[in-house]
Amino acid sequence: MAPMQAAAVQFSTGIGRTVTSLFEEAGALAIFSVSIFRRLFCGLPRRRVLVPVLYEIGVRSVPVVLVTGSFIGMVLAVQAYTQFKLMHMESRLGAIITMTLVSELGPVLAATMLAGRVGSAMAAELGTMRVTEQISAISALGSDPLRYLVVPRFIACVLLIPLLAAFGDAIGMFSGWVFSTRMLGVNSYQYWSHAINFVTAWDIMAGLVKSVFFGCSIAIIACHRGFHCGSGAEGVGRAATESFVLSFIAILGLDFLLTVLLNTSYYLIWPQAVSL
Amino acid sequence: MNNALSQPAIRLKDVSCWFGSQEVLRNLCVSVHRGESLAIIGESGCGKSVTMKVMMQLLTSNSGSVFWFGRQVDHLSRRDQRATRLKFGYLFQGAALFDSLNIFENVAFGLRENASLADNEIRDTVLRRLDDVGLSSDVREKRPSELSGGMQKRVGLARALALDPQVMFYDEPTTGLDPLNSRRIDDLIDSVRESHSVSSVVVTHDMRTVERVADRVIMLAPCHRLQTAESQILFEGSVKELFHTTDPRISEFVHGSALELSAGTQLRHEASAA
Repeated sequence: MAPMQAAAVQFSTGIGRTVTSLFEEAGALAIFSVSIFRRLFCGLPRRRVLVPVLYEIGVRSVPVVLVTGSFIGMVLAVQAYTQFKLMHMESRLGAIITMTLVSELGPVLAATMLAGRVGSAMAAELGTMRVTEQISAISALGSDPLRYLVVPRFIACVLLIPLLAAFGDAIGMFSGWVFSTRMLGVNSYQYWSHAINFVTAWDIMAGLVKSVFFGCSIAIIACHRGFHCGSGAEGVGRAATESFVLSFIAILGLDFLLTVLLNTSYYLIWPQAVSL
Repeated sequence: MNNALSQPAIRLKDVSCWFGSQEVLRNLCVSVHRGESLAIIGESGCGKSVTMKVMMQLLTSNSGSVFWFGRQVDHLSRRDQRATRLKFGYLFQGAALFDSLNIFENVAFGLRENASLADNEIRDTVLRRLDDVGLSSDVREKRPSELSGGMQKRVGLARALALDPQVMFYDEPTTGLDPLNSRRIDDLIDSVRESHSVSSVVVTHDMRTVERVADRVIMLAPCHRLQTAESQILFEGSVKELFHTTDPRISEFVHGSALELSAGTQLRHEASAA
């Protein structure tokens, strides 16, 4: 075989392998997700199992969300102020900060932070349990590892990530307001007046719906990576990294799809609505 | 009923297992009879631990059948499988204690998950099991990381015994332990068998453990060393027969291990004499 032909065969084989492994991964993730949903219908986890997970994922993530939310609000104020001032619209700063936070940046950034803090930690924890045979020990003791380990984490992510995103939104709005009024001289009444007039209940709901999906994806990806991690410390490290990278891609992909879907639904429900 | 009782506790029939392209078990047929203590030996990578995990269905084989108390596992519902699995106890090589739980909760895990017992009954059972393995109740509040390797193994044994198993699996129970702790674990395996009337399956490299605890021994060979139609079981018989076998592949492994042990013993004698 000529060298050119051999290289072409090698190249196409490589592409084939990559595509096959992508489909295999997607299939494994789908099967894993179905297993979780099936177990959700078999009853809730026990309180003594669920509460520590809720605490770890919810309460211990508050400081991260607090810091992230505050800075996002202030950064938005600084960035938007420069642009709005040119158009003499700085009084509308409240509208743009609140809208951006509630519908887009708040949920996405909160989910990204939590994919890093919670998702990686879950993948590493479950990965370590896999490597040290603790997951096998759960099976050996007559319990179902998915039900004992994954279902509580899934529930916690789905319930708490929207709450944390809402908390992040509130902190962002507050810090944006403080910075705009105290440092940039925007009128407080106008700030809130525009914010309230511009942002609808739909926008808030859209942000929260996105957060629910982000929570689902973080939990499924992180637990799947942890459950199927390779051997040794290297395997655990890779599981944690892959969990974050895949969750981040999933968050951005879902964000795009859900934004399109929610906007389309909005104009289907209210065809007369005027786009601003 | 009598028929069921006459069946082996566990039987593997023509079980084969691969990991990717690596063949680990080839048409393996093994039975564990009720009340007996079976040791599985062989060089590293020959599939001893995999055999035991397939027996307990912690790993699924690629082909062949597994029978628990005469019933084919594939024919059992998931619920029945879980219920039957409670009749088995498993001591993992590294003990596999749950890091996030203290010793008490580790031992209580199976009871909390499977038995509808009151808290005081769970407490009594846990303390009794800890006492069975020679641990005082002082350790119950400690974390697994605060215990030595030998103590972790004993906690692992207490946890496995908490549900009163009928078959106990020991995966390299003395690996990584000093001779004193190895002896203690061997004695525990023996006493568990006598006091709880359980069948035991012990995977080990340690010939002293084999001598102390086994009624019957199986030696496995790695699949890559086998001829096409050759059985993976190099030896099956009593401990006495194992030590008197003339097959060089077996005697090399057995006496090599035994020589290492006796050399260690001699060194200890010399050191104590000096």
